[in-house]
Amino acid sequence: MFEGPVQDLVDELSKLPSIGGKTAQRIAFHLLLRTSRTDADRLAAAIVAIKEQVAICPRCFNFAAGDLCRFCSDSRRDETVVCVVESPPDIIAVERTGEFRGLYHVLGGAISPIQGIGPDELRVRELLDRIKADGIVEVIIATNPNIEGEATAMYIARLIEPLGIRVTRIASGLPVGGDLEYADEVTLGRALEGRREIHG
Amino acid sequence: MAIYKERAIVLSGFRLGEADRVVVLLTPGHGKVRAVAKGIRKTKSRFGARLEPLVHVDLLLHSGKNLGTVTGAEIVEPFREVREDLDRLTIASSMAEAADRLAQEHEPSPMLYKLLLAALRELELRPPGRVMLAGYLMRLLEVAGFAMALGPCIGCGADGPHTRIGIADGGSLCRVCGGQACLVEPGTMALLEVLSSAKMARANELAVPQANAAEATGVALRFVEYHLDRRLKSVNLSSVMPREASLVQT
Repeated sequence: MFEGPVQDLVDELSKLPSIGGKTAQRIAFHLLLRTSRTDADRLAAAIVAIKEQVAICPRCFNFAAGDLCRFCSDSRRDETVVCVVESPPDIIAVERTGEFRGLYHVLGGAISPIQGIGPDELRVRELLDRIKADGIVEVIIATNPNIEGEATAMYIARLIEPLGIRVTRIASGLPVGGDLEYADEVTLGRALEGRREIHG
Repeated sequence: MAIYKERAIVLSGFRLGEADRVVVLLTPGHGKVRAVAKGIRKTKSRFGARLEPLVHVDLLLHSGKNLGTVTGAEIVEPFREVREDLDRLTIASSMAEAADRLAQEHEPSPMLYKLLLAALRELELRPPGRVMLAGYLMRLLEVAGFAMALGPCIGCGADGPHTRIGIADGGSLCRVCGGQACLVEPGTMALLEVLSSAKMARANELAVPQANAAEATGVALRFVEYHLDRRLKSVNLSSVMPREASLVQT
């Protein structure tokens, strides 16, 4: 146990995910002994700023610093294509590819029959409302390629297909740079199913 | 730490730390096993889809104090049809959840394992019939030692057939003994009797009226939940999924 403010900081840090008492203590001592006042102020200001300035985009449910997130407020993006993801970090992963210029929709999780998480706990209804109101022509489902992500994709496709909207699922298969001999049957099977012609 | 090989059905899993996952396994020799699969959430993980729920796998495990560690996995049966069809998946999830709740850690459960495996194999071959889940739950009760007594009245021994089932009493009751008990159709009572000894393939192909199927599933489910002393989350979800879909389609 330490004196007042040091112990307060240790207590607060240890509430963060993956940070136990020892790690919290190490970070607190780092901030106390090896961080300049300017850096400490900047860190404190950044923490306060995300609580004061960052909200949830009412259109796609990504994080937003203004009324809408930076994708929804960018008029150069294709508003007729929506990429459905489970969480905001997935948007960053898709953006890093530089291959997608449409908008996003964050579900806030995935359907998990095994854990009893149903569609009512996700933003599926909001996606349907958007599709009906915004003139969307294609929905790309980019949920994780695991059992929960696949269940979510199947559920959304079942809802959207009758509306006459094109529903696509991101491809799954072998990671670039991996060795074929280490691939499991399910992944390799999907890679074979999704094969395409190449031209030399 | 001891190393051992075991065949298992993956029941479920949950995230651990940055890239790991704890998988819950049903094995014949060690009962329910919880083990960490390190790095499984990374795209280049050597586990790939091998430890996804409902996959039947051969495993190499390190036993640990609380959690084991999976060091090797090979797929025996991927059950792709089950995992890639929403209707089969929701039923299979309910089956896996019930097995998960009933299985005990480090207590051999060969019958529980065989029953779930038979049910998954049946679902892989054919879509779920009306009483597939009820059939599985009835057999599960029998395997776990909670079989429903559906012959003579369990209160006074009067010969059946009866049309009342006492969930807490453990089986069928006559009109006198079962005043407050759950009242079922005679057809449902006969169906439950058939299901209590039917193999999974037989249960899945039974053509029965929807009303009897729903009633039998409800009774079997109440019985299982009574003995587990908790609700099965995935069953509630399976009743929501089709209704939600059809609601929007119309």
